[in-house]
Amino acid sequence: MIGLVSARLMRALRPAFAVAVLTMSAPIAAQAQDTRTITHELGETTITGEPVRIVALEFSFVQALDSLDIVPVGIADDNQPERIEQNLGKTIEYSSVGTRLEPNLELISVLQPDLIIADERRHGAIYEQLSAIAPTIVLNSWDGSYEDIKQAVVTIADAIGDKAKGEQVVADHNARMAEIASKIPANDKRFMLAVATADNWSLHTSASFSGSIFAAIGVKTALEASEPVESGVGLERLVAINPDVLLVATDPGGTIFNQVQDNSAWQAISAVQNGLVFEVNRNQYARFRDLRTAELIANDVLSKVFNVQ
Amino acid sequence: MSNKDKGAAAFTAAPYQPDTGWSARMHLRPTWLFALILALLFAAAVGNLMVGAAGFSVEQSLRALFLPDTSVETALIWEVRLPRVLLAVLVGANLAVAGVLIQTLTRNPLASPQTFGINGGAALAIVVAVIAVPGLSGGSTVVPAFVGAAVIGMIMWILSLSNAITPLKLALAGIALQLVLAAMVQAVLIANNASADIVYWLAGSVTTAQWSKVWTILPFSLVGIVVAIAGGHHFGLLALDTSTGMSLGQNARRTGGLASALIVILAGSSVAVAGPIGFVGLMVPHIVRTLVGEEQRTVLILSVAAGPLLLVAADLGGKLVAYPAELPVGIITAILGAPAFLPITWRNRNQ
Repeated sequence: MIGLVSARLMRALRPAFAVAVLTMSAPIAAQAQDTRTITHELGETTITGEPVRIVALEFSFVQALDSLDIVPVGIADDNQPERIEQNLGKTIEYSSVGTRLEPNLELISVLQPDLIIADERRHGAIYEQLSAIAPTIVLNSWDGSYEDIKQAVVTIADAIGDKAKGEQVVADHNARMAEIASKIPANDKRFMLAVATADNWSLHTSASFSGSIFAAIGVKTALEASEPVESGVGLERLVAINPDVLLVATDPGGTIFNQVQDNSAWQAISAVQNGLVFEVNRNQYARFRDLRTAELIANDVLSKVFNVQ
Repeated sequence: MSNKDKGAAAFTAAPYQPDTGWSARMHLRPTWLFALILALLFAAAVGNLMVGAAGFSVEQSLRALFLPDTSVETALIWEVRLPRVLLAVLVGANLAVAGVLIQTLTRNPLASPQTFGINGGAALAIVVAVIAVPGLSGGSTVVPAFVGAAVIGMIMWILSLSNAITPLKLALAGIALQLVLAAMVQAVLIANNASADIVYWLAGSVTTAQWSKVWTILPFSLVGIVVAIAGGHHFGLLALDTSTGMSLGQNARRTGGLASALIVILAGSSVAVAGPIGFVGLMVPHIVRTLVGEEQRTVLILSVAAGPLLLVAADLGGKLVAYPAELPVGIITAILGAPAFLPITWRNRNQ
């Protein structure tokens, strides 16, 4: 609500802003001669200077910026600021620009950004409009693998003029992940992340973010596929895949996970019989898809599944 | 009571025939047709039990069905596939009977729980209730479903009482209402970032059937269907205009009220367990009437078998078309039903 009011206020003051920005930006542009061409999913974007007013249209971009010590001015936060707080483990000051699925272009332009970071799947269709507002880079977050997410951190760092820092962040992360991987005992357990919604299941495959994290720490994914998610499935498909370890991602409130507990077909699944079913937070396991949650998932696997602290 | 029965008997002897023409002369004997539909339903149900994402053989399926043990196959057949088939049977019967009743009650061949917005009203109420009370699931969604179905049912019933509205206009009003309800469902889902989660349920699906859902709908199906068939002759009189009905001893208001309540119970409980499945309630009554004529109780009894046949067969199709992935059964019925909608409109163009 506050975001809405302030956005309206800013829109009303927009002519005044424009003048202010014009007069201010002249010396800045003269100072910053540094021009970089960033290659991204939908082409190349030229960025001059060091952007400071950044709009992030996916959660993983917010975390990437946070790891580079930057607070975005605008975030497509699904109008749920608590998700950003959960994502970063702290509260930051920003303006909401609506949902990730349909970010509000007016709210974005009111923020006068100098860089927009968008997701290929969700925002590829509005790339032109976003580019008209500010230089825009399009990365793969929604169905990106772990490698895509790591690469995105470096690309974002490059876009804000500090590529070395991005590489450092990824290197530090790689070291922590390698340490976790080294502690994981040799095993041939087949892992799967399944999102439980109110009425059905979405199964995350080897091509998903969680699938590629399993691969990175040296455990198998139960469902090999080229598409990241198999959605709208029933219990029978879960039984057919028969994972040995099942991470069930849920939102608060009732899901189908509660409804299947007494079902003998559910009880026939290897993970259920071995006591290796873990209910996990859907935001952290399926929505955020960033380096921080990659470490969280890897640590969870280590401590919960293999009981290694 | 005896007067009414006499009236009903007279009515049976000289059935009212809104659609004249070839179909009146080609009626099959209802008993044989009923047996045939039941046989086909049994075949479709067995086929449905044999097919599933786990993909074991027909022999394994049969053994699990008739010689249950502690195997995975037995668990799947008895805890996943059997409740799914039974749920499809009950939902199919509910929607078909609700379709017969609503077409009779409103004297409108284009009426159905879907085209009159009853399903949409139930769906909207469930979506709002689930978002307002996140823990709400299973049997508890029946209550909002009834409320939503009843509110829309009331609106359509009031509209249908006006003589100024032709059946086609009433059907258009219903479809417009349904579109508004669908848009409101979308708005609620988008505002709550839940659109992707619930899209399968909104299409109408029995994929996640369990015994608990069967137990949820069963009492409403039994009561709704038994009362509908027991009162079949009285409901049949509603197809006549009100004054004729009254001269035959009909209390139109009370009978109409009962029929409305049955429609709400039958359609509302279906939406609660399987989402808003369309076209079953529109198609089945027409197909049955084409085959056996207009006698209300005969149409009702045959619809109780034909509705399940359509839904169980459609669900089997949904399992096969993208195996091992599945299409929600509501999409299959829509694909089958949309072409059927056109001839119905065409046949009734002059009425």
